[in-house]
Amino acid sequence: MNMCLVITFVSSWIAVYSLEYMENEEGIVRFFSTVNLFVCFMLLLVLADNLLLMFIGWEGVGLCSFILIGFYYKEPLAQKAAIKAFLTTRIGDAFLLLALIVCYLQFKTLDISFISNEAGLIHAKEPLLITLICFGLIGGAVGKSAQLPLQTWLADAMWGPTPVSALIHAATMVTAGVYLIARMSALFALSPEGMQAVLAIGALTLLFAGIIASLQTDLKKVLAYSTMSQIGFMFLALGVGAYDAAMFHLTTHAFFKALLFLAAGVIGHSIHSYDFKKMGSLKKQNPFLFWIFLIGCINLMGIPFISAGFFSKELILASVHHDANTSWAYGLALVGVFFTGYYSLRMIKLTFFGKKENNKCHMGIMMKAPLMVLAFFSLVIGYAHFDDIIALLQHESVLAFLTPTIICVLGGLFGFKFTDLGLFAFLKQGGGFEWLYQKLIINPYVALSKKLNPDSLQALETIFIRFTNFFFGSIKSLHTGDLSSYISFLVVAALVMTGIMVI
Amino acid sequence: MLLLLLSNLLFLGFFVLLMGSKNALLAKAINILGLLLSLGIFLLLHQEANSFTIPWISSWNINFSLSLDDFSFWLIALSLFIGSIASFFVSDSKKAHHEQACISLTIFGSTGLFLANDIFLFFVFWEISLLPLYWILLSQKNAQGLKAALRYIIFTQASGIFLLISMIALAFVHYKSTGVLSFDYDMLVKNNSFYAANSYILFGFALAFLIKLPIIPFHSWMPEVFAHCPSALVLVAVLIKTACYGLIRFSWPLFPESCADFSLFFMSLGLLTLIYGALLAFSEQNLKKIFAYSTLSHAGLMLMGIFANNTLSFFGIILLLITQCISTGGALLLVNQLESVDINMSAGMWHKNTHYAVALLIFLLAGFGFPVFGNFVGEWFVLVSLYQTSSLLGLLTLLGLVLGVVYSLRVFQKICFGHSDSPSVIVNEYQGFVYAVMMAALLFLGLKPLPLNIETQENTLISSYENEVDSL
Repeated sequence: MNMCLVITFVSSWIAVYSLEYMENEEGIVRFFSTVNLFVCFMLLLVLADNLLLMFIGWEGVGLCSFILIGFYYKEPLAQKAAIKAFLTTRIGDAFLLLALIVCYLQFKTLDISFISNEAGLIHAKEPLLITLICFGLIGGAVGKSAQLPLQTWLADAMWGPTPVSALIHAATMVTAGVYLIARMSALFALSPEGMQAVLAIGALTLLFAGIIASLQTDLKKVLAYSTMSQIGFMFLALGVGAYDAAMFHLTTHAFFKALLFLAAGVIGHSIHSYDFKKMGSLKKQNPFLFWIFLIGCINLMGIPFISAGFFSKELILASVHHDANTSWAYGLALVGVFFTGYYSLRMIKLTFFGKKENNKCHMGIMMKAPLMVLAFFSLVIGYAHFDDIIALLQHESVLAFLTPTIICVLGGLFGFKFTDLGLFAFLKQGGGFEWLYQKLIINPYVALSKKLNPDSLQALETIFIRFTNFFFGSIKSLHTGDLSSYISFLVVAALVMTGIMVI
Repeated sequence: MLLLLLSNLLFLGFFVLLMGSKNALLAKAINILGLLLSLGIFLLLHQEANSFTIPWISSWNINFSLSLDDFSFWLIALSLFIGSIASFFVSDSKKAHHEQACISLTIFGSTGLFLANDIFLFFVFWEISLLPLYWILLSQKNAQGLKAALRYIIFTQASGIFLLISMIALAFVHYKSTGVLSFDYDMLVKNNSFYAANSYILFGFALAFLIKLPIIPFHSWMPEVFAHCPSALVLVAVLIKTACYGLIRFSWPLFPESCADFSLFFMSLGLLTLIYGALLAFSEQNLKKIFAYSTLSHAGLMLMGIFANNTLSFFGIILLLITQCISTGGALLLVNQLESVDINMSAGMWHKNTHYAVALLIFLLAGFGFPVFGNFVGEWFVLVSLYQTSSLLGLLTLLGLVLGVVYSLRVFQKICFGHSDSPSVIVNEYQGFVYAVMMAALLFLGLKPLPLNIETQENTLISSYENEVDSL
C-alpha cells in the first residue's frame, strides 16, 4: 500500500532533519528510539490484516505520541498536553474496542479480509449491528484523527519537538483514523448512517478547524488546526465513499504538511518561538525558506496544476459535489476552502512580511535536503492522479471545476489584506470545547475523587465498631462483683429456662 | 509429588528461620533457591501424580486430599514465582530471616489451598496463608503499622468465619439430602442440585471471598496493609489471588442456578468497585495506597469476569490473575525503592534514571491493559464475555477502564516528568534483571498467551471447567 511508502519515506527524511534539529538537545537518544518505535508501530498498524493486531499498532503509536509530546518533560504544560493527548485518544479507543468486541462476537474472527467478505451476510441478518460497529470505528477514528468532538488534544500536542509534530501530528499518526475507515470500507458501504456520520463529522470539523486556524497567533497552532481541517476533508471524502480520493489526499497532505512543519521548525529553531509577534521580515533574509513555505501553502490552498494539494482536494470536492444529497456538506466545504485560503496567506504575511527585524535562520544541509525533497514531491506527486482530473474535466463545466480554487484565492487575498478576524475572536481558544470538557467532565471527576478521599466507605466500619462497643459496654455493666445481683440473675435465668421447658 | 512440594515449602520456612538468624543474605539465598527449586520440580514433575489422599479425621470423613488441575497449576507456578521475587526484594535487616520465613510460609499456605480437594483442608490452608502476613505487619514497630495489622486480622478472620460457617452449612445440607457426610469437593460438586434451595450458602461464601478479594464496601483493610507492609509487599498480591481462586471454585460449580440468578448483582458490584477504586487512586497521595486502590479496581473487573460465566471469561480471569499480579507487583517494587512514598516527592526520574522510568512506564501500561502485554489479552476475553452477557455492562466497563489510564498517567507524570532535587533511585544489576524477567513474562503472555491457548478446543483446562459447570 502506498501508505507504507508514505510512512517510511516521510519518516526517514524527517529523521535526517532531526539529526540537525535535535543536535544540542538533551535526551536525543530517547527521541530517536521513540521515533523508531513509532515508525515500527505505525507500519504494524498499516500492514496488519487483523483488527486486533492493528489495535496493537494503534495503541502503540498513541504511546509513542505520548512520550514525544512529553519530550520537554520539565514543562508542566507539556506534561499536561501529553496526558491529554493520550487520554483523549484512549476514550476514542474504548469505542474502537467496543467495535472490535462486536465484530468478534459476530464474525468469530477479527481478520479484516474475512470480515469484509462476510459483512453482507451479517448485514442481511442484523443491519443494526453493522451500524454499531461502524460507530465504534468512528469513535476510534475521531479520537486518533482529532476530529470533532475529540479534537482538543491536537493543538496542545504541538508541545512536542517540531519534527515530531511533522511526523506524528501531521503526516502519519493522525491520519490513521482515515486509514481505518478506508480499510473497513466494506462495513461502511453497508451502513448509510455510518457514512452520514463520517460526512457530518468531516464537514463540521473542516469548517470549525479552518475558522480557528484563522485566529491563531502561533505558527504551529495554525498548522495544527489546519491539519485538523485537512483531515476533515479526508473524512468528507470517506463520507461520500470516495476512498481513493481520501487516501490520495492523505498522501499529498503527508508531504506538504510535513514540509510546512519542518519549515516552521527552521524558524522556531532560530528564533526560539513560534509566536507571530516575534516574526516579521523573514523573507528578506531567508528567500529559500520563503519559497519552501510558499510551496507548502499553495498545496494547502490547492492552486491548480502546480500543487499536489490541488489534485487531491479537487477529487474530493468533485465527488461531494456529484452527490445530490450532500449539497449541504459541499456548501460547508466551500466555506472551509475559503478559510483555508485565508489562513494560508495570513500565515505567510505574518511570518514573512511583518515589520519586526529578524536575522537569518541557520540551517545546514541536513535540514535543507529534506525540505527540498519534500517540496519537490509536493509539487509533482499530484500527477499520479492526473487521469482522474482529466476525466473530471470532461464531465464538469470549467466554472464548477474552478469554483473551489477561486473561492480559495479570494480567501487568500482577504487573509493577506486583513490579518485580524475580530468577528470570531471568541472562538480562539478551541471554540469552547476545552472549557466545556473542563466544566463537565474533568472538574466533577476531580471533585468527586477528592471528596471520596480518604476512603469514605471506611465510615461503614464505624457502625460495626459502635455496635461492638455498645455490646461490650452493656455486658461489662453486669460485672459488678456484687454477689446478690449474680444470685438474682441466676434465679431469673433458672425460672426462664424452666418456663421454656414447661411450655 | 504434591505432598513433597508442600512439605518442602513448610520445611523451607523453618529452615530459613533457623539458618538465617545470623546472616540476612544467607536467609535470602536459601529462600530464593528453595522457592526456585520448588518451582523447577513442580514444573518438571507436575504431570506425574495429580492427586493424593489419606484419611485424616475419619469420624467426620475428612481427608487430607490434594489434587491438581490446570487452574491450580498456573496459580501455584505464579505464587512460587512471585514468592521468589518477593524474597529477593526483602531489605537486609536484623529481622530479615523472619520476613523470609513468613514469605515461604505464605507460599506454603496458598499452595496448599490451591491443591486442597477437601473443603475442610481448604479452610485450614486458608487460615495458614493469612497468618504470616500478620506477623510481618506486627514486626513493624510503629503504631500505624500495628493498627493496620489489627485491621487486617479482624477482616480476614471475619471472612474466615463466614467461610467456615458456609462450609459446615454446605456439608450439612449435603448430609441431609444424600445421607453421606462428606467434605470432598468433587463429591459436593457432583451433588450440586441439592443446594439450589439454599442460596444463602452462596452468599456466605461470596461474603467470605469478597472481603478478601476485596470488593467494596469490605476493602478498607487493604490500603492500610499496602501502606505499612515492608518489602514483602508483593505477597499481598498472591494472597488476593487466593480469594479469587476460592470464589471461582465455590460459586458456579456448587450453585449454578443461584449464581445465574444473582450474577447481575455481583457484576454491578464489580463495576462499582472498578470505578470506586479508580476514583480513589486518582486523588491519593501515597504511592503504595494508589496501587492498593488500583488492585481494588482490578478486583472489581475480576468479580465481573467471574460472574459473566463463560469459558472465555474464565480464560481471561486466569490470565488477568497472573499478569496483574506481575504488573502491580513490579510497579509496587519500583515504587518501594523510592525515597518517599509521597507522590509529589520524587519528580524527574525520566532524567535521573531513564531505565527506572521506562520500567515503571511498562508496568503501568501493562496495568491498565495496554495491548502487547498479557493484561490486555485477559481484559479482552473478560470484556468480550461481559459484553455477551450484558452489552450495557460491557460498555460501562470499557469506559470504566479508561479511568485506569487516568491514575496511571498521573503516577507516571508525578514521578517521571518534572524536575526536583530529590536523589535518584539506585537499581543494581540483579534487581534490574529481575524486573526484566517480570517484563518479559508480561510481554510473553501478551504476545503468545499459550499454553492457555483458547484456539485449541481440546484444551483440558477449559473443557474441565465446562464439565464442572455443565455437569448437571
